[in-house]
Amino acid sequence: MKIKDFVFAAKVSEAYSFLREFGDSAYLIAGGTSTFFMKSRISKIAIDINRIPIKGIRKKHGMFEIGACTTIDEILRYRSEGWVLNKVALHFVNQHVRNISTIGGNISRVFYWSDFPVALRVLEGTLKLTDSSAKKANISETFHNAPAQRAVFKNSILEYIEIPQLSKGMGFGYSKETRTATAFSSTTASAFVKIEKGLISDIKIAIGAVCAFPLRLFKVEDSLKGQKADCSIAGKIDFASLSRYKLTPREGMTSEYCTHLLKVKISDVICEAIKDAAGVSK
Amino acid sequence: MNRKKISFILNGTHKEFEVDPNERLLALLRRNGYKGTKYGCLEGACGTCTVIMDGKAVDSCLVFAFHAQGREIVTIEGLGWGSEPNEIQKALIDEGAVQCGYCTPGMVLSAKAMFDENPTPDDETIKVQMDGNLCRCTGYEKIWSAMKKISASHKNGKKRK
Repeated sequence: MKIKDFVFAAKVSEAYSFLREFGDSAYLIAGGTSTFFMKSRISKIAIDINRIPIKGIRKKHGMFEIGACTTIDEILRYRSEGWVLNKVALHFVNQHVRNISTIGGNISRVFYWSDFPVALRVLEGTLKLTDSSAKKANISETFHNAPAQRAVFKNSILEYIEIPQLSKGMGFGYSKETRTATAFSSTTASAFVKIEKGLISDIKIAIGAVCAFPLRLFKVEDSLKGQKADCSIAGKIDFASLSRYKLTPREGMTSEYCTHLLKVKISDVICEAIKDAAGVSK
Repeated sequence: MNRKKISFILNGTHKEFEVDPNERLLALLRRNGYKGTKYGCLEGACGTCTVIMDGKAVDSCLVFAFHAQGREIVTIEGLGWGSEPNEIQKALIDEGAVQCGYCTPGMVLSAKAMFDENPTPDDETIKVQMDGNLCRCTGYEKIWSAMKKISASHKNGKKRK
C-alpha cells in the first residue's frame, strides 16, 4: 500500500475529523506493520493514532480491558490471574514485530483473522468502538459474520477490547501452525473449557486461517458438553460437522491435509484447555 | 509525494529529516549515511535492519519513517566502534559468534534492547527476545553463548568492558 501523506492524531475526536476530511483516502495506522502486506490501488493518507491514549491493559469487574494500541509485546508480558492472551502473543511472528504491532491492528486490519480474533471468539470478547458521532458501542456480533466486520470498522475507531478474566475451573488453549515463524498462519485453533464436577459444563471452539473469518464449531461443542473432562475425549471427537464449512487450505496444502491438520489442532487445544482448567499446566 | 519534515533523537542527537510519506525508516537512515542498518528481507523476518525505537528493538523495514517523529532511535552507529567495542560486541567476538557479519548489527541492537531492560535474562528470555534475528552462518549457539555469558557476568556484578 502506498502512503501519499501523513498526519498525527492526539485524540479520538481528532482522528475522526481527519477521517471525515480525507474520506476514502484516510487510513488509520498504529503499528503499521500490516500496511506492507496490504494491496490497494488508491494511495492513502495515514492517520497515525499512536499518540492517542488507548493503550495498556486494565482489570475491571472481572474483565480485562485492552487498549487497541496495546502492543503484542505488552500482551505477552502482562501477568494477572485469569489472563490468557499471552499464549496468543507468544505465537505472534517475532519479538521485533511484537514490539510494534498492536492488538487493534491485528483485529481490524489483518487479512484472514488468524491470531487474536480466533481467541476472542472463544473468550466471547467484545469490541468497544466509537463511531463518527462519538457514540460508543459494544460489538460482540462482529465476530459472527463478515459483513458486520466490514460495516463496523468502516466508520468507527476501535478503542478497547474486553475479555473475561478466567476463574477456577476454566481453561484456555491456543495453537497456530505456520511454515516459518514469520509466515502467515496456515491453521489456527482455540478452545475455552469450563469444568464442573469433573465434567465439561461449557466449551467453545474456534478455528481461523482456513476460513475468511473465525468460525465457532457449535456442533462439535455440543457433542462435548457433559462429557468427562479428560484429554482422552480429544480422540473421540466427531468431526463430521467440519464438512459443512468451505475451508481454504493455505501454503500449498491439499484439502485433505488441511482438514487433517485442523483436526489435530482442535484436539490439541481442547486438551490444552482441559489441562489448564484442571490446573495441570499452571 | 509531499515531502515533510520530521524530527527525532538519533543516537542521542536531535535530528531533522525530510521524509517521503511512503518511506520506511530503513531507507531514511541509509540515505542519510547510517548504513550499519542493513537491507535484508524487507518483510520483518530477518532482523538485519533492527534499530532500537524508544527502547524496543524493531525492524526498520516495517516502520514508516514518519513513525519516528518525536521518538528516540538508536542505530549501530550509536553503540561501540571497532576500536572500542561495547560489551555485546566484545562478547560476540570472544565467542567467535561473527562470521559473515551481515546480521551482527541487528543482533547487537536486539541484545542491547534486551540487556537494557533486563540485565540478567534467563535462557528462555534470550531465545524469545532474540527470535527476530536470523543468522545463516553461525547456527546461533555461539550467539546465545555470548548472551548467556553477558547475563552471567551481570549476575556476578561484573560489567564486561
